[in-house]
Amino acid sequence: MNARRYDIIHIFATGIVVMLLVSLVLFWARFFCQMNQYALVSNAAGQLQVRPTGLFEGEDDPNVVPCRVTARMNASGPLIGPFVVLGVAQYLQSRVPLGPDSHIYWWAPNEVDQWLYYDPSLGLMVHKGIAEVPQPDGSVNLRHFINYAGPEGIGEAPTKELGRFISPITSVYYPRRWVAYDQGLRRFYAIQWRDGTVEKGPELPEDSTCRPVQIGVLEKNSMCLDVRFVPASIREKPEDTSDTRADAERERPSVLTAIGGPWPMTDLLPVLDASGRIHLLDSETLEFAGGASSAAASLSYWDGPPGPDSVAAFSVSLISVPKRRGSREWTHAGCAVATLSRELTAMRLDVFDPNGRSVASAKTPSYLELPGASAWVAARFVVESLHPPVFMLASYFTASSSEATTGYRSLFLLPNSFVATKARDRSVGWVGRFGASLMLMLPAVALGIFLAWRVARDADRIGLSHEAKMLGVLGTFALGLPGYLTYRLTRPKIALVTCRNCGLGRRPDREKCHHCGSPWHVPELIPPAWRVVEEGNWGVEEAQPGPAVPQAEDASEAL
Amino acid sequence: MLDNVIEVDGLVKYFDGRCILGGIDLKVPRGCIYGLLGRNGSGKTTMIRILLGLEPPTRGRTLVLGQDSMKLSAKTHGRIGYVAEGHHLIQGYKVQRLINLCKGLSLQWNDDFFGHLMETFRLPMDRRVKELSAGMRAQLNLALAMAIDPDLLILDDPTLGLDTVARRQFLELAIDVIQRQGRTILFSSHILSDVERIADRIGVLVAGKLAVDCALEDLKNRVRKLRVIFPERAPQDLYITEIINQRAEGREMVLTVANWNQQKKAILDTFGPESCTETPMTLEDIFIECTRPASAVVPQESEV
Amino acid sequence: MLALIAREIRDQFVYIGACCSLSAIMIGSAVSLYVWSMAEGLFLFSAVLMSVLFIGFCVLGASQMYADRANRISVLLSTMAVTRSRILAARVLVGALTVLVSLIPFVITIVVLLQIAIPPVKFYSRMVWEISASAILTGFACYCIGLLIGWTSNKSRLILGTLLGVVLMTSILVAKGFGPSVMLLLLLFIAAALTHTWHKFTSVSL
Repeated sequence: MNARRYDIIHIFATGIVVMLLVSLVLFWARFFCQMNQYALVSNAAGQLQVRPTGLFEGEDDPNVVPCRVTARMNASGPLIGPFVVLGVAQYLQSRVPLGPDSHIYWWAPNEVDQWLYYDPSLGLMVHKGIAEVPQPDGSVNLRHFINYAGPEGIGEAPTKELGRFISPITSVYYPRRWVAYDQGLRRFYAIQWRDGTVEKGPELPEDSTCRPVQIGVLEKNSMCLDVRFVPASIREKPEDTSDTRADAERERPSVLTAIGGPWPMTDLLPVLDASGRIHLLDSETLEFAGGASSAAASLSYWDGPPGPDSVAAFSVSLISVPKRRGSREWTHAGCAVATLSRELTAMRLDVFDPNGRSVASAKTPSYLELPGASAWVAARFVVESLHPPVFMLASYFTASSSEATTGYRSLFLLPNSFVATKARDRSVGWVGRFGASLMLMLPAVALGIFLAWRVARDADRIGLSHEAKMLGVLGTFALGLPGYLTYRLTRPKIALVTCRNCGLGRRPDREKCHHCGSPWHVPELIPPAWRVVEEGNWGVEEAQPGPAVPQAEDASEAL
Repeated sequence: MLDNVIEVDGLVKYFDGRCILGGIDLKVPRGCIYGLLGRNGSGKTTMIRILLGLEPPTRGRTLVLGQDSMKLSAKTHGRIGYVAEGHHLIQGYKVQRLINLCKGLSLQWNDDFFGHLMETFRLPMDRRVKELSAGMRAQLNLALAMAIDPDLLILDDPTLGLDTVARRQFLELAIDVIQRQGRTILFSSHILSDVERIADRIGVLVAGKLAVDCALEDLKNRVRKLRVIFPERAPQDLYITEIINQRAEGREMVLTVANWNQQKKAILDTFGPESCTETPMTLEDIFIECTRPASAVVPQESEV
Repeated sequence: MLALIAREIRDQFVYIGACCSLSAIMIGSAVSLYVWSMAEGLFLFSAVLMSVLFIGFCVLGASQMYADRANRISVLLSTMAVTRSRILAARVLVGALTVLVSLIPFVITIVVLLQIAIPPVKFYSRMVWEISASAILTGFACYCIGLLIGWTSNKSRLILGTLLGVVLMTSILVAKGFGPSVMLLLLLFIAAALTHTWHKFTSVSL
């Protein structure tokens, strides 16, 4: 390996180490700012309420306290929001059993070997459990069973006849009728383990805009956001007696009997697609019954393309009313959708009727209106400006394709930066977006230019080769602070010596001064004018044995 | 078979902008005992450390046993025995552990010879190195360096800290090594009587240059100290080149000249001295003359 | 090479022993928590002890380099039949062995406990593998941080650098979680850190 390649490898290695360590420091500085921004919002405006909901008749009855829907940040505790979206939390949430990426849909930990999961190697759903087998004598034996379900049926062995799922997503597990959608096969399936059958729904067209991503309970990062429906109640009057109250209870209009929650109460299952729309799937026919809401309407409140990937968190509460008074069968009455923006600084609550029309909404005030918000915005901007300019530019181009919470896990790109936010702003054309982003990148670019200038000056001072200087300058300009630190760590550590010719510092490891080209003169060392060496004497003819000179036996004898 | 075990070509070394070695050219042939001399701070240890790859040169090239000093292979390292100035041994180790370590890392280990050395030096095996006296550390260092039967032995002031008896023992050991065919020794020492006793060639570092690099006998022939008496006052300008030292007092002038030859004698004769006698010099005398700081030197005008 | 490795192990025995002891404590604690049906606290407890273990790895790396520079060990070794590369390779090998010997038994214990507590199903083995591999790589990365900062004579710089390095390295797991992307990042960092250390060690004056 030649010296030049060796140095390049060393520079890159040092650069990687510096880049990672600096990026980590900047990441946590950014996170600190974001955490404080979130705290500011959640303390000042962390709860929204819609009342009345507009879903029911009788909500305007003066005798009735109308229904209300509330959405809260910090649902599971203060400052939970920013920590829930960190990498370790997201990983554990999704991978632990029953998590969305775990493929485990049901698990009975207190019983032996009771599981329901998807086995990607088989492409089948697997149900392991214990069945009770009644005996003729009235006793019950327990029998272990394993059943496999594929698109074509259910069996006790994973045979090819069952077919293979490719990429299933499922609703909450119901033993009687369990609905799944396969993104590869583009069909809904109803798996009935007890009956041993699998029903198939119609295949969605390949160019269909509906691409389901969640079925049943619709939520994302619900630990930092929740939405609740509180039903209406009879307004208590001082003159009420127990009889009048009982009458009022008997005459309870449906507004008083409505309930809300994440779990579907009817045969209509909510299905969220990639564009943010919520459809209703008839779990019996496995066909869509119509749109329940357009969650895209609430997601476009902030930047970026509509869809669940554009928000940091959302939660959906399905509202149902009994079909008849006292009945245990329910009718879908609408839904409430709460969303949290990707910066965790804005929340919106929308109420939709059964036909998917928005009937009421509420949103948090603009973040900058809150006292102290500007300081944190400025602090975050300063921290972002310390990032490498090239990464900021890359963040601009990747802004639209990044999921909302990746900004809380990304060390190098900045999906939630001001530059990326501007890149997603569809209210202006691409020229305006790019120009505004460039303005936002200006401090980072200016810092890059300044540091590159320092590198160029130092490289000239210590006589780096043109290639090395260019590498240093361009690397520092592109990578900013990490690039500069890498240069400082890898530049040759040489104490310069004053050149006698030009008076500037010259490198002692070079034959000539890199400023004036003069060869070496070492002023502080004056070597002797004589030499006694074997191969040719310095400046004189070849030495011959010198003539004999009388030797003094005693110093005093000579005089 | 390499002719030159050590080759130094244009070696320059700077420390923090201060020049220590200003261009050294040196060849040490196989089988030679080379005595490297110089005053304190002249760069002897620096040059040795550069030869062993412990220090990178600022400029120039150094080859040891045919390999670049900074890229010596493990095998080449194993053929070099080194006794460092200050005896850099791992202070916290016990003597036995250090011996086991060196034995384990060596390519060849002469157990008999090492045993003989340890018997001679009578070093305690269970004591830590830092608890040994300076002389004992020197002996241990020496024994470890010699036990590997090195092709090249580099000794940097090896008798520092040794008493007279131990020093004599070392010299005898060194002679023993010399007598083995093909062994080369490079050593520096301030005890010039020892150097004079065993060295073939001498090198003297003066002001960053190797001012002397020749056989010992050659050096004695070529450097002459003369006491010259003139009829009248000693002349101010004596047009003789390569004067190492010059001291005049009245009619008497004491002159130390390098490369004394017929030409120089003829020039001296033109000044009509009354008498000219030579003072015999030992190596120590020559060394003192060569390295005297107030030497009357002619400043160089050309670049070095 | 074996002589170098043996020397390194013997010299750093205190730190290696401390790391292994801590690992044994973690194993014992995990078993106790399981036996006492306190498995919920196992994860947090493991995380805390793991962090201390990471500090131990970093201290090991720093100690190897600091002791070398302070006691001029490599000055002596370099004059024997070894090269600086081999000296460093032996050092890194000992560090890697320490990391593996400390963490793998703990990982095996956790897997065995999971096998007992939760019936063996293929899917979570991937999660266990990802978490274990990420933890082991993070441990080794902390060790590499120690190698990077250890070649100094300034003790306060050494202590501060150790603490800051471990905190930063461990925070990668918090920030990015576990999984292939983190493992790749850590592998890249480890390769880069070792390359930088090797370059510095082979070119520095001893």
